[in-house]
Amino acid sequence: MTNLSRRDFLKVMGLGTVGLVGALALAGCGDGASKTGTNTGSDSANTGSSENTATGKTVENVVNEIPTTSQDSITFGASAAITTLQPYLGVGLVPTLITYGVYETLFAFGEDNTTLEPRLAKGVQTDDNLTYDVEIYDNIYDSNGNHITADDVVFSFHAYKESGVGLAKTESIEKTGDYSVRIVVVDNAIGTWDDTVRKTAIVSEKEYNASEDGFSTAPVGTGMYAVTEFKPGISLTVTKRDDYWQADESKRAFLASANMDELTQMVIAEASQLAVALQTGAIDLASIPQAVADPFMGNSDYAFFPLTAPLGLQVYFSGDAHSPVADNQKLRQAILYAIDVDAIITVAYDGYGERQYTFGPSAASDFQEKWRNEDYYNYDVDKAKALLEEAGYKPGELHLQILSIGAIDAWSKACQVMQQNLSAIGIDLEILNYEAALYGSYMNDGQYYDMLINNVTQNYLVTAWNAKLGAQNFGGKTCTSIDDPKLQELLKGCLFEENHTPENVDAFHSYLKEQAYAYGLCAPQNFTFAKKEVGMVEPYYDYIGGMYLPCCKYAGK
Amino acid sequence: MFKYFLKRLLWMIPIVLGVAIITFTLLYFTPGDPAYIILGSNATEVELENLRETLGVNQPYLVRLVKYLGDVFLRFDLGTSYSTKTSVTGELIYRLPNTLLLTIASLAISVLIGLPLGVTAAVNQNRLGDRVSMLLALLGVSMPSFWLAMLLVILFAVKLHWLPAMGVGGLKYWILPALSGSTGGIASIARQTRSSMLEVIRSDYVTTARAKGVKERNVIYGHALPNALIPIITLVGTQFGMMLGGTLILENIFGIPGVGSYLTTAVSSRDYPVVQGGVVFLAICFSFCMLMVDMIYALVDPRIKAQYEGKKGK
Repeated sequence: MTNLSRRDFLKVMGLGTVGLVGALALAGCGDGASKTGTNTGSDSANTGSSENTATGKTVENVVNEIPTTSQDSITFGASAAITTLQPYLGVGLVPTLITYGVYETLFAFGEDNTTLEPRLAKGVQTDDNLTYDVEIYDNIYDSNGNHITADDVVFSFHAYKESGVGLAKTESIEKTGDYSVRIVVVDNAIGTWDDTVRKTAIVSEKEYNASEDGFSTAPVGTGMYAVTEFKPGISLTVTKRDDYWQADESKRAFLASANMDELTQMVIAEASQLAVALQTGAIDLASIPQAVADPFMGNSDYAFFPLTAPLGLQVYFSGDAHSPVADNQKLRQAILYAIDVDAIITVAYDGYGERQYTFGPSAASDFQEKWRNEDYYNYDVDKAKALLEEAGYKPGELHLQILSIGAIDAWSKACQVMQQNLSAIGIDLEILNYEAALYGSYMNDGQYYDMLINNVTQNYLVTAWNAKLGAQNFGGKTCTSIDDPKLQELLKGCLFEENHTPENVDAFHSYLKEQAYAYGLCAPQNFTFAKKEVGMVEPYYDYIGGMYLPCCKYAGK
Repeated sequence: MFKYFLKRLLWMIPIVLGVAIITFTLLYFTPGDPAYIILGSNATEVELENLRETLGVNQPYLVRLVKYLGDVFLRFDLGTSYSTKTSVTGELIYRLPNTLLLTIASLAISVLIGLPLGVTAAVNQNRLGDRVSMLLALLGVSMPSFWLAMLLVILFAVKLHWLPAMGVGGLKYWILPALSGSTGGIASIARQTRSSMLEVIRSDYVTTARAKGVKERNVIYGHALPNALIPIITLVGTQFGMMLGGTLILENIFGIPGVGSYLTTAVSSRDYPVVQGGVVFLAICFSFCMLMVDMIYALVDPRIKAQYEGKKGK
């Protein structure tokens, strides 16, 4: 190589190095600048109304100066992968644009997320809350023009049941007429009927059987929207149908609303990339974690919609004989008094969240407001120490294990806070941070841990309680192996249609609290930001806290 | 040559069979519950048990193994995903082009930059050019691709608005992912090239070429480099195979539906058919890749070609 070319080479290398370092520094500085410009904590004031609750803080919708929108379409980002649009899959695998917008069910929740209202069904009759006679409309057609009859309803129920992911409490379904079916459920517990008729998508048997991939890529439903483009793993676009079968708007279910003509969901797995996509205008709207929300907080270009999630955190104690907490009520109470829920909200959710006042979400329809004023193991270290002594333990004597999922950041942080809290009263807490599938193998068996962190969401507290504590679901014990006949008696005493009274619900809540078998910690606030041009003025969230855009309200629409 | 090719192809059968059995066995004994992932935290033990039964994960090891091997090797069916109920083969075929494109683009950048960098370093051994090249190589090796990816996104998408931050589309969508994925390769190739060139550059035939007055450029690129290529080709081939299943972080960051992200999600959700099918698929791809590498050896080095053809090297 000649001297000249070597010099040239060095110049290029030098310039390249300087350029690279400069560019990276520029990128890094930019990021930092955006962070120093705003502050998550203090910005709650800038974003309009905010409220410091008894524990944690919450912020409310900021929709000031939203212009009338001329947009007929919205592109939004979500982290969930979309690989299939099939109707009969497990939780969270198919987006709500499909489950609510493209497919329809016999019944659906109304705007309050509690009242069941007819969708494909015209009416229902029952004498015993176990056998239901359902009549459907006779003019239902899917987007390919197939006429939906009772045969299709029966087929759909069987298809869902055979998938193994739903209808566990449906005993049978039979056709009783061209447009009527009889459905029998195994019990009349609160939520059984709801789950049966609002989760089973009704599709045309002929169309489903003709589909080569079980509607995986080209679903055909009766809903207000039809899929116009689907790129698995990348994006999904649905467009409002102008030939929706229910022409009478007064008879349409709330979930059949279609307040936006076209919606595109982009798959953006990485949280920071969701924020980038919103900043760069690649998407109009996204729900993003608090940690990357800084550029949007207090930014007048975006409307801000926080929601206290109905999916909160709970902690459970093991009932297995190996564990010192199993037969020691005072010890369980000592632990709960030692847990600082405020600190969990601060650490796990950047301070945005609300504590829970019972084992389950405060948004549940049978939640009782008076519970907010009770002493629900409010943080008290002195009381915790006294109870620990009463329980027969001295500081330093106890080593406990808590089972968690390492990949869920908020759970891990909550466990770390509890670890610190318990060390203050002399209990050594070891965190078993497993990955999700492994956690799933152990969570329903108390012999593998002393404490368990989990979440549960339902629109009724009794349904949540039954899902986790009902003995019939876990071979005669609760999900953490607690064997307490009185607990089961009280649960059965409030679980069914005929005994689901405030008094009975309160009796179970009080007993569970007193026994301290399981405890509701807190629920986070989820943040959704929408570009002002979208014109969103009122969001709608479904019963598990997911924003469903066709039912949201937009200025000028 | 053809005979060698055929022999190698036949060797792939026991390799893939071995991979299938090992993968199946490892997954069988790996604790974890796919039913929990599918049904979520609200599911009761009864519901979980029903789904386990439906999925067939409660069946004995041998029953499941025989069924699986029959599906794969007799019916050429990699199975159906537990969670999405979609065909594993179909999903892999849909995703492979994205992963291939990302891999090829990243490797092309790596070779185009890494090779000249390594040659320059070797030619300027222990001088400034060598040190700067190796410093850059060290930077490339040390810089995590996800970190570089985020910085590139902030610079080129957020600040300058030159390139899209994510998605799959035209050429511009691939620039940032390919650049992010190439840094490690640039560094490895540069270091390997330098090392190989240093060995070759001292050979008698290089000295002879110089003595005969051949231009230095021709000596380096015409005589030395071709003879230094064998280990570099091996490295590029290995990297290609590894990237086929190892681009998951970039796929996640840039929203590219590829094989890596598909398999990673499947591992964490214990979607056994996807993991087993994906690993077998990648094993086949990797075997082909290594076969291609061996074929390229023959093109680059006549001595190897002679060996493949069963002739005595002269």
